[in-house]
Amino acid sequence: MRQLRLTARYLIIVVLLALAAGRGYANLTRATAGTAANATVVVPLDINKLADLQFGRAFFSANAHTITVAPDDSRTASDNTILGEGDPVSAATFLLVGEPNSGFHIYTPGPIALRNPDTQMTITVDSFTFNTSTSHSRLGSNGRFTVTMGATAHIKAAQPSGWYTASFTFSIHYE
Amino acid sequence: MRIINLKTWKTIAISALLLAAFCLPVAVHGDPRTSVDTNSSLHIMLSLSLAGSGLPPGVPLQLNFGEIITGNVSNAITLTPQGVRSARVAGSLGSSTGVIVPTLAVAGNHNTSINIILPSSATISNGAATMTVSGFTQNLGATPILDANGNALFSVGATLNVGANQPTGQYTGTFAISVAYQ
Repeated sequence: MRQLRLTARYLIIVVLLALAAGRGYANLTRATAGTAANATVVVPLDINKLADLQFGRAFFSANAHTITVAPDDSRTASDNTILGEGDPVSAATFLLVGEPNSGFHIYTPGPIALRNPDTQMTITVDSFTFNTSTSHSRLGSNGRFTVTMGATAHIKAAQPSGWYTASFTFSIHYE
Repeated sequence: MRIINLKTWKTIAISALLLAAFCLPVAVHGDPRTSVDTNSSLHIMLSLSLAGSGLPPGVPLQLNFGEIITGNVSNAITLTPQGVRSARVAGSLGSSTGVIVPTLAVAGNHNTSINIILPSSATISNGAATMTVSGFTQNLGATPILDANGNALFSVGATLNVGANQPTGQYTGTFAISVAYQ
């Protein structure tokens, strides 16, 4: 009986130790693979959006066209004469900050429907391209990496004039 | 066989529950993704068109200063976009027959700002003799805006610089007017 009581006290001590370890782990780590036994502390992976995906201005056309923004911000069209100046053009740009030299994975977005709120007409955006591989890319030794993402917009024949916009989610995770 | 009393079992059971509870934050992880909302946009606009207004087809637009009387001092003849003519030297305005300013129609995206691009100067000539036309103006102001139907109408004026003892004759030349979205 005395031995069992000692065992019970020992279990309580173990529980208290687990409490301390568990709280420490919960406070110091986020969203990373790890085990309670090893308690690897990893800097959370963070994204700072630096620029939206902007296709700029195009002129009305009776024919269907595509406009592609490359990860280097350059813009081309199936017929460059439809391209206009005066509205911003940019690849989506994200500054990733996390554990130095860590690998990360980029989730390629699915097709996006840009919509004109007046006409409810849409333009599909797909064929996303990046300045780095979506898998096995690594943060720099300073824990930073800038991802740029381009895509292609598909303009229909006689697409009505107006602003077409949409929001989408860009996601990454540690590998 | 040893008998474990009820109190000991309770202690063990509570300890196990606590252990399980404290292990919970370690064992459960949320979505490993880090995400950010992003915007995308594309602006489709109608191409701007520019055409003469109020003239029969095929008739060119004209900025005509009419008849000027030369003298031994230089002169400046101003023609406003409204077609009003004036001269720096009194009595130098001759017949107003043919005086006209060009009026142009713009069509494009409704409620959109445009730039009207006028030349800084142009030259008109009569054989070897020349005069310059400068100070081009238009009557839509610094920030012209196409109306709700995507239209705008504007006229252009300018100043003719006449030299002292300018040779007489018919002087002609051409210049370009263009428009662009801001």
